[in-house]
Amino acid sequence: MITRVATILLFCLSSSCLLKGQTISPRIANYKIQVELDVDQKTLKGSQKIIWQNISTDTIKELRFHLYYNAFKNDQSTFLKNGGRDGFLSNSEFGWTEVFSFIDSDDTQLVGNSYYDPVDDGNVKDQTVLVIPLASPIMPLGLGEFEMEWKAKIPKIMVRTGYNKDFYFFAQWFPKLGVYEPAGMRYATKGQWNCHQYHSSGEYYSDFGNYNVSMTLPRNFIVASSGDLLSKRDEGEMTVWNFSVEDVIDFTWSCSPHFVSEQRVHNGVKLKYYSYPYKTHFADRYFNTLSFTMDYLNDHLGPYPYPTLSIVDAPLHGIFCGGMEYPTLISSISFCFLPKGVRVAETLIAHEYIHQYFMQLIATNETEEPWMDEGITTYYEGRIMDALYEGNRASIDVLGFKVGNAEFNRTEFFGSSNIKIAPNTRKSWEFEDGGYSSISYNKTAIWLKTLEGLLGIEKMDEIMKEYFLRWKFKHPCKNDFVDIVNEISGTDMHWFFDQVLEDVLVCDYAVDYAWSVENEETGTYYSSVIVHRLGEMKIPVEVRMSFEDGSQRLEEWDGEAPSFRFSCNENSKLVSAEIDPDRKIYIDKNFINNSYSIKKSKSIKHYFNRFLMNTQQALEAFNFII
Amino acid sequence: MGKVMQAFLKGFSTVLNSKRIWFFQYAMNLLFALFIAYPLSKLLSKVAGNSLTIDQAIGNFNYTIINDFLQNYGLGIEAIKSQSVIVFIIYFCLLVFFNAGIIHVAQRFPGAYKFRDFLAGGAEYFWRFLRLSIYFLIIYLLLIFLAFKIVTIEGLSPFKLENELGLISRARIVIVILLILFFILNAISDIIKVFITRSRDTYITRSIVMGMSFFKKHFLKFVSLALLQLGLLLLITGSYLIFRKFSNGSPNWFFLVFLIGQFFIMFRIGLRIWRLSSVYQLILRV
Repeated sequence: MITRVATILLFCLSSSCLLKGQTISPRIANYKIQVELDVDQKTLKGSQKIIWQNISTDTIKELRFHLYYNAFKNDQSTFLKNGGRDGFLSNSEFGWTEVFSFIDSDDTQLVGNSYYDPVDDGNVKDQTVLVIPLASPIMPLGLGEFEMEWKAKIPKIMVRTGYNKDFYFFAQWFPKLGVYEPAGMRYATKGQWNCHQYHSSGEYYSDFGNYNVSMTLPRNFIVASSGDLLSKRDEGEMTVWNFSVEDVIDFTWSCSPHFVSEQRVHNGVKLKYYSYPYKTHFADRYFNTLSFTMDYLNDHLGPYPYPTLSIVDAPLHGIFCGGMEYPTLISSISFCFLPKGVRVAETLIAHEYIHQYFMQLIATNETEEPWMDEGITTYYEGRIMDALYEGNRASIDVLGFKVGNAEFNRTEFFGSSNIKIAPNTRKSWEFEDGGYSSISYNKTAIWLKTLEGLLGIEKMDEIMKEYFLRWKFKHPCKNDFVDIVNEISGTDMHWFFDQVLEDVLVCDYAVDYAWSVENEETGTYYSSVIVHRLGEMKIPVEVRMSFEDGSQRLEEWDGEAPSFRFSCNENSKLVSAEIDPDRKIYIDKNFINNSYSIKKSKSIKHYFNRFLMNTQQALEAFNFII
Repeated sequence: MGKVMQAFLKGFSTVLNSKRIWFFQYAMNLLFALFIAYPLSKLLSKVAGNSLTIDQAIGNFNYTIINDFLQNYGLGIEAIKSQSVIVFIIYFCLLVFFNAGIIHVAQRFPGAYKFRDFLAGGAEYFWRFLRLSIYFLIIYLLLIFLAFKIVTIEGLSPFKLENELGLISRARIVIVILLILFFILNAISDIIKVFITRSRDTYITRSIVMGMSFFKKHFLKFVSLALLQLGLLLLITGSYLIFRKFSNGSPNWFFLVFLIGQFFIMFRIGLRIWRLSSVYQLILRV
């Protein structure tokens, strides 16, 4: 054992100290990769050293790798079969990864015994999970060191990764280890690899580690990458770029001969913006939004711990790589033809940056629990964008049409074809009939905002800060989040999570009727309000009664019964009643029926006026073509 | 230029001489708009008339309330939408009828006319004007299709496009050309209408050919007249929009907004009469 440790230490030293530096993460999966890009053949040739730390008390007899590029190997892969994109790629545009050598520290070649394991659906045509049985098991708390040789054919960009023209985006490009979950971690009852096939919906799950990556590519290419540039040297017609990043769960890079870059520093973080010359005018929009978002999360959660952040604004022919998050590198989408008031670029950059916290720092399993990264990120996106652009105009502000971010997400959810399609707990690949986006992103954001309404924003901030501090550089699951909510709020909120997270219930409270009758003897008014629970969801709500003299009365209702009546005797006549007047219950599907004014609104005649005049104008518009 | 100005002013005299026709058309516009606006307003009143949100949404565009309305009470909107399609088709035909009637009456100016002359003219030329309108509609649609094809000549697939700049610059140029073409076609169409009313022929092909060659011959004059009319329309529309912007949402302005809105509609109808009459006057003068 002592000899083994000594060997490992030596290996570490010889591998440019992959595990060096101040440790802020467990550094379980560490990679030193050398890769060569062949732009003519559209291939990558790679060799990588892997140091894997067994943090469990289990003896590890096999390793499991994601070969994500094999999702594009044929149209029978699980990714392409379920993605509904048959025929999207031609034969020459498919991609794949082949591992042709895997050697352990005893120089034993292990690749011969390797096999593909379609763990999720048994599809034998799917080769996205490679199992390599080990000749020498990795002992409890031991280190494993390996050298791997592989070759990859780069797929034409279909989603997230690949090439188009001379734009390359390398995400999920190298053979990447799954996560070994010992008993007690997340839902594991016994030690097991968590290494799912690559599915068309859903993303990734990886361990923290250090990366040192050298890319060899033609000299005219410029590289945008995770981490910081250590060195760059020319070798004949090629240039070797060397990047390094520590304590992250993945490594992504992109290159193009057309990239132009701009750098700024915010809060000590080097922000590197890569774009094409025709869209550099977006730089300010990105930097401004990013600075605000960084400050907001710094204040509300904690500091961003890395020295760099790269932003890739993909060209039009690379947009399917845009709008994605990777450790210390995010990609966005911007369109020159959209008016400035349509804030696609700003929204995306804020969203992807928030993922640095909810995906990268808090490394949840995106494949199994997509709401934990996408939903929480969308919730913060709403908070940040609506704070940056006050007045419900964060998403769209064009010619008087104003749409806020949170309200846009709410409408996306309630406008989806089936809001009851699945509970939030559904695994990403189980959304076979749709609903992944509306449930994982939008519904989560809505119920988190509802939770914020129920607990108060200060308590919510306290919860999220504690969640961040306790679970950064770890892999929490649903229960961990719920436990923190219960702990910090001081109340058992299971009743809430059972409804919003585990079930598919609809929330709709309404004021059905309100009236007031004068008691001529006493001169007081007897007023009543009937409220209804039209949905299945039961949430305590407030009901505000407003009286003619300006006074108000706030009642509380547990929201359990299908209907309830509030009655009171007051000196003034009831004017209106409103359920949830402060819009705390953001998950309520209809805000229109939340209030009742005894007198019909005078605004109706204004609307009638508008309808009438607009219709008159539209009718007369025929004149232009007759 | 003198003839153009004379025709323009004579056209205005015809408008003043056609108050009954003018008012009748305004009344029809109002009636048809009511067929759509009233049920819509009724639906809004029924489902949201007692809701406080309706007041909150009056001043500004409120995305949440609009969507809650559409998502929760959308069935009612669907029924109104179907009804609206029928109303619009009928009104389209009615406009064709009106235009025929206007030119028929304009030919009698400065002499007296009876309202039934307007109706008789509309009836007499209706089918020919309808055919002409359909022909021009087809031409407009073909031009739009052609413009779309030119703009997307490199395709729309982001995979194939190098960037969106080509698309944007082509779109800008094509839209300008399209607007100019529409403007010219509209002017030609008005001349053809006059020629149809002066011909005994059931077929309109001859009138179309004559109208086009007449326009070609007097291109500058007719374009100048059309520009005068367009300028007037833009001026009044701009003023109206500025007024609307300032008055938007203010309950105190309700009647004023309503009145000004109705005046604007009346102006647009009057301008149509003016346009057709002045084209007729110019044809007489050149």
